[in-house]
Amino acid sequence: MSENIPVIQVEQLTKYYGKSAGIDRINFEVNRGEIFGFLGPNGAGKTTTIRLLLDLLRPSSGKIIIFQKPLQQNSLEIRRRCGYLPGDFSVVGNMTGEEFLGFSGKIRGQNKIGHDMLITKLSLQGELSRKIKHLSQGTRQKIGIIQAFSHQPELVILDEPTIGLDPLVKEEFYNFLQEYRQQGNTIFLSSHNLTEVERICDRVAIIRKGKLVASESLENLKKNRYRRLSLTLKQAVDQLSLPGAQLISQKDLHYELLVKGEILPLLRELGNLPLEDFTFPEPSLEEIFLYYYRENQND
Amino acid sequence: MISCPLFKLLWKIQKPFVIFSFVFIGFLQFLIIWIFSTLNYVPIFEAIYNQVPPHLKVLLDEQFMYRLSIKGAAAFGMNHPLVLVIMGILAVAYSVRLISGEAEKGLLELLLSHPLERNRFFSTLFLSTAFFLFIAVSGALTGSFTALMLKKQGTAEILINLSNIGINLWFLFLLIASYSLLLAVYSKERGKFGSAAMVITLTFYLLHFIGSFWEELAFLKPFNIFSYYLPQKQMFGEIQLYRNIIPLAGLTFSCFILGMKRFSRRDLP
Repeated sequence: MSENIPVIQVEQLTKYYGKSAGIDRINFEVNRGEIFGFLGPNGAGKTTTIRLLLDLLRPSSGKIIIFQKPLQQNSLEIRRRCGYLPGDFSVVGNMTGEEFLGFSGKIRGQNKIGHDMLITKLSLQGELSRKIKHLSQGTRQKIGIIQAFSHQPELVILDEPTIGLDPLVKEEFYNFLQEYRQQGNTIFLSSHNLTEVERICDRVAIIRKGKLVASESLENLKKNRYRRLSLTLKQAVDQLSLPGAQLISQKDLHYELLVKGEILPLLRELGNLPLEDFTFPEPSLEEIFLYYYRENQND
Repeated sequence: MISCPLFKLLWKIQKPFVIFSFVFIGFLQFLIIWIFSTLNYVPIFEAIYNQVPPHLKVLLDEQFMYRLSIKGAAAFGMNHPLVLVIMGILAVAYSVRLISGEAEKGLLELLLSHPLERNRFFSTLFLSTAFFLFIAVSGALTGSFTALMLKKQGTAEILINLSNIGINLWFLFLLIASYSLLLAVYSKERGKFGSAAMVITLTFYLLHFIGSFWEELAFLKPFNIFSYYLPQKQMFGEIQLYRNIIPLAGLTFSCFILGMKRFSRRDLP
């Protein structure tokens, strides 16, 4: 469980590519024992942030502190304690899975190959002796996952980890992540799969055009700031306009809206509508995510 | 200085082409010497040689079979365009691709997310390339020595001079590998710098080739890397090995240090 001991602290982190900002003054913290989801569409700055966290890119300004040590001065030590699964896990050449895991372990100074429990959970027995280039994308991804966890890192950075995995294996992997987190380890997970993030993450950050637009617990994000409003009208209205509400979808006289801010003006306005029925179900992460994007597109 | 697991990984990736280079270059050398010492085509060559203009004779002497002897043939093999192309691929293609190639960018990212110092990564990359080039040169020497011994023409002088030429060839391609790596670490657009290194090498080679009979280009010779690799002259003892090795090694070292410094600071991939 999360212990409020920061494992990753990012302060005013900025990365410029020439004159354009890849990410712009972002701040967030990830605590020990937490699964932190990092959301954003392509080009939002997710990969840039991950590469900065791994010291592959150097920041234009700002600070990255991992395990309470500045990253650049302690890069090697920090990377020793981290695991990483890139978005496009690829190994060129004629290596088998076993050889690659052996190589990865040796660079980390380990003799033990792989992570037996994970190999079983991911149903990878018998596949490790085959050449990686002959394996399916899903199996390659499993090898990538094992190399990220094989040295029992305290922090694991995962970029789209479940691409190509079948639903049963995904389920096993999610359970493994929960167990791994309960051992006091931290997981930073970047994903497009909002259901996945909603299912396993404690907190999420949403990044848009290089800027962080939200960073809080899923619970807070859902309960405190956003509500979904489903309403059915008795008869059509010219234009449905409610304070603080944004239309997500409409089917005949049924409307789905996402509501932000004060609820009282909205309730007053609802009283003026020919209402058949209305409910306030909890919004899905996808709806919140879309809300942020639509809201910011209107900026 | 060097990461053994990374070295083994690079060997695993490069092994098929390195073995091919060893066998192909060795066989080519063997064939050249074997044919030259078996067939008597000296009179044919002499007939052609006597008819060419004097400036082309200079070119033939410098590049091909000087004095039309077995020694000249052995040296010619070490300067054969096919040998140079294969060595060029070994020197330029893989090391550059690993740093700036599109297909390998995922691998580079993955490797450097491990606890591996960038300087160590860079040195391993360079030294593994040096090792692969050494294997290719060994192939050339093995092929030549085998043919010479079988034809009972392997005098101590030829073997020593041939070894010196091999060392010189190795240093020449170490320089090509080091400036290719230097260009790759400065590259912003992936893939283009591998081609740039090839173009630069080819330009040096063509200028060297043309410069040997075109007097107006003679002033470029000291600035051309191929001027420090003249196997025909070396075989006949007209040039000392150190005269070529010193500038090649100096430039290689400079490119390597500059490349490593830049690589340790630059964004990856």
